[in-house]
Amino acid sequence: MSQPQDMMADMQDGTPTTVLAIPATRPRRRKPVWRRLLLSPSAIALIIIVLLAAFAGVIAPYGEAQINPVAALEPPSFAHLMGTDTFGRDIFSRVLYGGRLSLMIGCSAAAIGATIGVLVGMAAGYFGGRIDSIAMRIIDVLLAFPGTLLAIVIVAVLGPNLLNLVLAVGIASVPGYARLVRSLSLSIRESDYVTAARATGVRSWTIIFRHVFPNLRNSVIVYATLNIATAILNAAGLGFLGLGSKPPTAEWGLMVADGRETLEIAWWITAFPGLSILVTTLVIYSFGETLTAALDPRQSRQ
Amino acid sequence: MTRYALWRIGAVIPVLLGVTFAVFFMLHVLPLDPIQVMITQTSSGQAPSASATEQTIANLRRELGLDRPLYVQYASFLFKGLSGDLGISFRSHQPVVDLLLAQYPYTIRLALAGLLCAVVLGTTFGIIAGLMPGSLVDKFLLLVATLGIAAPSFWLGLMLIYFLAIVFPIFPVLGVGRPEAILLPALTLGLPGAAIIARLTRSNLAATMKEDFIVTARSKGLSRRLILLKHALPNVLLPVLTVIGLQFGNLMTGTVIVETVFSRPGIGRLGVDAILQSDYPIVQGFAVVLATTYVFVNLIIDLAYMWLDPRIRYA
Repeated sequence: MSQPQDMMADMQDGTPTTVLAIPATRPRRRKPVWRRLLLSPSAIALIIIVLLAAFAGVIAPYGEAQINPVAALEPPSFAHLMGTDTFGRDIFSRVLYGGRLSLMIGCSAAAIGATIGVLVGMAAGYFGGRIDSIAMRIIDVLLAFPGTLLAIVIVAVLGPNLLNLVLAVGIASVPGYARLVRSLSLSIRESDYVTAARATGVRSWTIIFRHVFPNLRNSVIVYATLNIATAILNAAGLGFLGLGSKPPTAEWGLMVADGRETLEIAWWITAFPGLSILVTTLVIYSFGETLTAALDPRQSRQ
Repeated sequence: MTRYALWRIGAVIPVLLGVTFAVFFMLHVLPLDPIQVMITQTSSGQAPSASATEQTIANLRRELGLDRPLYVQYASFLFKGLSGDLGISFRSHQPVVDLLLAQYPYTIRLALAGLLCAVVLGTTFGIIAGLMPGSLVDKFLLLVATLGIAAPSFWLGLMLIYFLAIVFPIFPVLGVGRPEAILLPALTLGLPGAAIIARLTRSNLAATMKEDFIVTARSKGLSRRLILLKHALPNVLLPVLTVIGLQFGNLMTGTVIVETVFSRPGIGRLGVDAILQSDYPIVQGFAVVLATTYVFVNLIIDLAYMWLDPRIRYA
């Protein structure tokens, strides 16, 4: 991947190198990439969000469903950073707990989508023929359900609750992975090392996991990162419609819906959970871009 | 060209068959027994066994044809659907087709208004940014577009209501009857699409302005306006058309959320209510209608693309 760059950099140094010298330079170049990645603004922002969500129980000044009728509908103040809702629950605490839930939903859904999608995509791309045709026809049908409709229908079938919501959002993201991985596998299949492996009699699935998967792993990581953001957005949308977790669970989509009735007198109930979704997806999207730059320099330069 | 068009039209049939089968399969085979659901629905909360004996269940099953093999059931569902019979709602006992048809125009009107917003705002700001890449205006618009993509539409809609209808009462919030009441919902629905279209238009235009034929046109002494309208835009806007087709799908499901946010009638609201009440015939009709609309819109976009792009037309 970085071979031409290495050679160019070395030639500029004035030290003529042969192709054989490249492996030696590899470890030296690896480290800065990961350090640059970890120290990028988007990665730091993401780490902060994850820490806030992970330690919600420690940071949150109030309980997730701690009701206090005396302090109902209070605007943001030092006691309640993001105000309180109709039951007097602290919005800031609920946003933190909601963040934990949203990140878990997003990551689980992306994991489900990635696992199924990558397996289907690799099988379709590597084996080709009838397996490919059947898999792609099914994917075509799934893609005929626009946007989140597929997730909505799956929730309808399984019943509206949190676990089914995760499954639904995960399954709805399978077609995206499958198409990406299939097209990558198609070209990897034609490479010499795969032919060589096949000629020496290595079994198909061994080739797929040893040779095909490592070569498409980076693309899948980048796609999955963006998919987590999309999954959080979709899950929050379904939560808003009442198709996800049930009250009094602190879930961002549900919290935005909660504030709808009192929007005129208490904007903060709606504003902060939605803002949290916006910030989280923005940070994940920009981290995805940083990741693309780190993992695939060729693509990011275009 | 004609052959490709016919092939493209023909390709719709297996997809539609697949879509209807997927919906049919998911809603008939996987969930709880529809008879059980139906009995629980009609006996209003009573235990099913209290009101329905084995015999009545068996009779109902035969009456609805649920004792027949699956492929027979699917075929009958398909033929009934083609003749406009999508079953009877468990709850209201009205034909599902009537319920959907009553709501469909509201949703289509909203989707088209949203599409108009997305296309007009997206291309306008995309062209502005694309003409001055790297400028402050460009950077600002790019930031707004990124926010537009990352913001959840249900929240965006409520924030628009708060700022444009409550704090500064410019737009009306509710009232489906009045024509201006569609403005805010359409804006909410169209903004994410506008952001995507703007980004695409911007990068396409910025790249096209560096092409040889633009340099040639400029060296001929053509005015900037003429270069933009005659030479650049036809090349820039054609790929945008495909994105519009894809965006229309998001718009169709976006209506589900926007209808809830603005308390508007529509097929999305009907569908979500049906899911919450386990009214499967309506859910089935809702999913089939939305997916079919999407498949046909994409067909129209593809054919339009073919007709507009001479490279495909004469190939």
